[in-house]
Amino acid sequence: MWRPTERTGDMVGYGDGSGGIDVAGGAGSVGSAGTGSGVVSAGSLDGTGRGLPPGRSGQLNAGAGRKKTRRYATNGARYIVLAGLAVIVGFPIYITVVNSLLSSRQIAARPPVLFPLHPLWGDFSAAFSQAHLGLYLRNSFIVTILIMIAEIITSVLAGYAFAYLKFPFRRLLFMACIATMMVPMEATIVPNRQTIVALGWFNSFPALIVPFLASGVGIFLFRQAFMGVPKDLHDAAKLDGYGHWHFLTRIVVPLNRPLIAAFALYAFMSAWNQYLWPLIVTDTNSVRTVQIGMAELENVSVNHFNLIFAGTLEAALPIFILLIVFQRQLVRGLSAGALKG
Amino acid sequence: MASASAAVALEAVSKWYDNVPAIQDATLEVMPGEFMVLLGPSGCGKTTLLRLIAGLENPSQGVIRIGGRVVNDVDPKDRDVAMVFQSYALYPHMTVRRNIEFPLRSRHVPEQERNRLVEEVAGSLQLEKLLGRKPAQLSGGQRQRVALARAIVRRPLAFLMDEPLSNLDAQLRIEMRAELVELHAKLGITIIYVTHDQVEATTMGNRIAVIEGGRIQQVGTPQDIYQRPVNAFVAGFVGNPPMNIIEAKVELSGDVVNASFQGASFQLPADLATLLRKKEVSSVLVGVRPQDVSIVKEDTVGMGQLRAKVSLVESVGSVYRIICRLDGGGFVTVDAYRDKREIRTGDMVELSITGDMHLFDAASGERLEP
Repeated sequence: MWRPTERTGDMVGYGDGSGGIDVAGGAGSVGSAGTGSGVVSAGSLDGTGRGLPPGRSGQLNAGAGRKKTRRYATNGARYIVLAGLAVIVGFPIYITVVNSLLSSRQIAARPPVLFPLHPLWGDFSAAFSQAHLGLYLRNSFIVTILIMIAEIITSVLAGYAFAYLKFPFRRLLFMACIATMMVPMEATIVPNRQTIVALGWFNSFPALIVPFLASGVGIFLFRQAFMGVPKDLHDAAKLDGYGHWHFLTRIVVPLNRPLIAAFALYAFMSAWNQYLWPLIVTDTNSVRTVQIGMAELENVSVNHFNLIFAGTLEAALPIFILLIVFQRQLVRGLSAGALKG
Repeated sequence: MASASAAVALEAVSKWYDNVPAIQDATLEVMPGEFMVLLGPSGCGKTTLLRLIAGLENPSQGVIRIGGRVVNDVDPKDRDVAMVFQSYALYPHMTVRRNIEFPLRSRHVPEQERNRLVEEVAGSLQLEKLLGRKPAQLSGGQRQRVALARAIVRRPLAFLMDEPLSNLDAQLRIEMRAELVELHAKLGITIIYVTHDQVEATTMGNRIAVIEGGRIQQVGTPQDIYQRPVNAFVAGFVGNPPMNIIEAKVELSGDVVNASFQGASFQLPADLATLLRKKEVSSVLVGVRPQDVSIVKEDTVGMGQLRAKVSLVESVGSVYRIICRLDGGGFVTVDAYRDKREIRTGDMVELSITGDMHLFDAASGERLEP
């Protein structure tokens, strides 16, 4: 609900007033409808946009002043809390960056160094070469991107089928999909590994990718979202000459782009951060992924914490980049939705 | 921009959902170029009927023809009908232009021709300046026009409209009503229009099909339906305020036939009397429109037939609407002119029937007619 252009000093006609998150105008008021920032004119204090008769505006000015002061105070308190939370979240990341630029001895120093005056950039390339990070990163990219694309495609298609198509055992199959979400990976890991070995896929990319081509979470997520697309749009598309495929690709997917982006991010992160499964279905560097590489980095550079920190940052970098790229889509996802009449 | 318009015919069409009938034995013939209104209360099946014609539902029984062709097994897209939805069903992520040309794209109309058609339709509906906008940036009336444009642009054989005006405010609704009638005259296209609003039905339709309980009750011109409702439901549903309907006993005394109601009785016209005598009907529903009842204060010397007490007097523009509680229970609405302004809530009054009287069989609700 970010519509700065609609702000006109008072809050007449602002948004839909339904109590979303208001980030416009600097006050950052959260929640309650009809609080907004900027100058509240007496003519619109009732919040309905109808205004009040001119004779009553005088007596309201004093009230408006008091309200303003109170609002500044509440907003100030909010900022302090939010800033505190930001420090708690941001500090470990900051300290990782700092440590990756220090020498091992500086890291061990007490009190800790909080700002690298002479940053050592060489750690990044050292981590890369000493622990084969380049190779692991490449492998991780191959595995993660393929899993992400496959999960999006299969989840969108299955979600659509469950939402729009009628076929025998639809409910049962959907239940089965949901049930996969309830079983922890640890419970299936041994039989899955045996299957992989039996298929002759040990130490290969298919072993890392194939078990994750579909996702119960994704199917559930998209089915629910697609069911929220107004039925009239489907009917209109049918009359406009479009079948299921075009309805999916031209209407349903574009309408749910923010959700798909969010799911892509989720799929990417879970695939990228996998550790246990790649560890047990591979034993050679040629197909191993970056998280295993990280563990190895720890072994080869026990006394070089700086290398571990640098390597950690390198392994986390793709996720950061992805977050930045998808950020707009994700934020838009909060306010997007199909149009009602 | 003349389009070929087609007749739409339903022959004994029924539709059940899990053994619950939604439409029963519907037979209806819509002439090419006709504006047919399907009128009925909520849940009567009128929208289902429209969806059956569109192909969005399949009939359980019966035959549907569009332009003479049986379309029971034809996909919606191949029926060549366009539909305007109550919610407008505009694609929110597309601009107005994309929305309007969407049905043309599926038919692989070349781009140049597509642009020409879109601009022609946009021009006729005053949408030229809005072509670059998204639906969320439009007002209700503008969205409505875009929905119409999307339907018109491909020149369908028939238009199906499902309560297209019900999301608009009152003023806009009146304007759009006029615009739709104008559009119909200009395009000469068959329109099947679903509404629960009898004002829309009577002002727009060439003919009206009144639907209740999944059955078509009556098909006729607005005048037909207003003047000669075939049963008590139609009589009570069409007309604002609704027709007064009172159950009365038939009493034969010599040559005269009286309808008696809680002690009061009034003589029935001779032709109706003959009919009642012949059919041996013992109890009837007497229907009288509010403007066909005259009202006088009890203390004025009158020939009132029914005694009543005034419960409410409303001033409705040119008339006073007086709602009276009859002595024997039940309410009667009277539309009186300004000379009755001395009548106030709580007054005792006498009512007499001065205009047309409609009689319905109390058991079946069917109209009794000589």
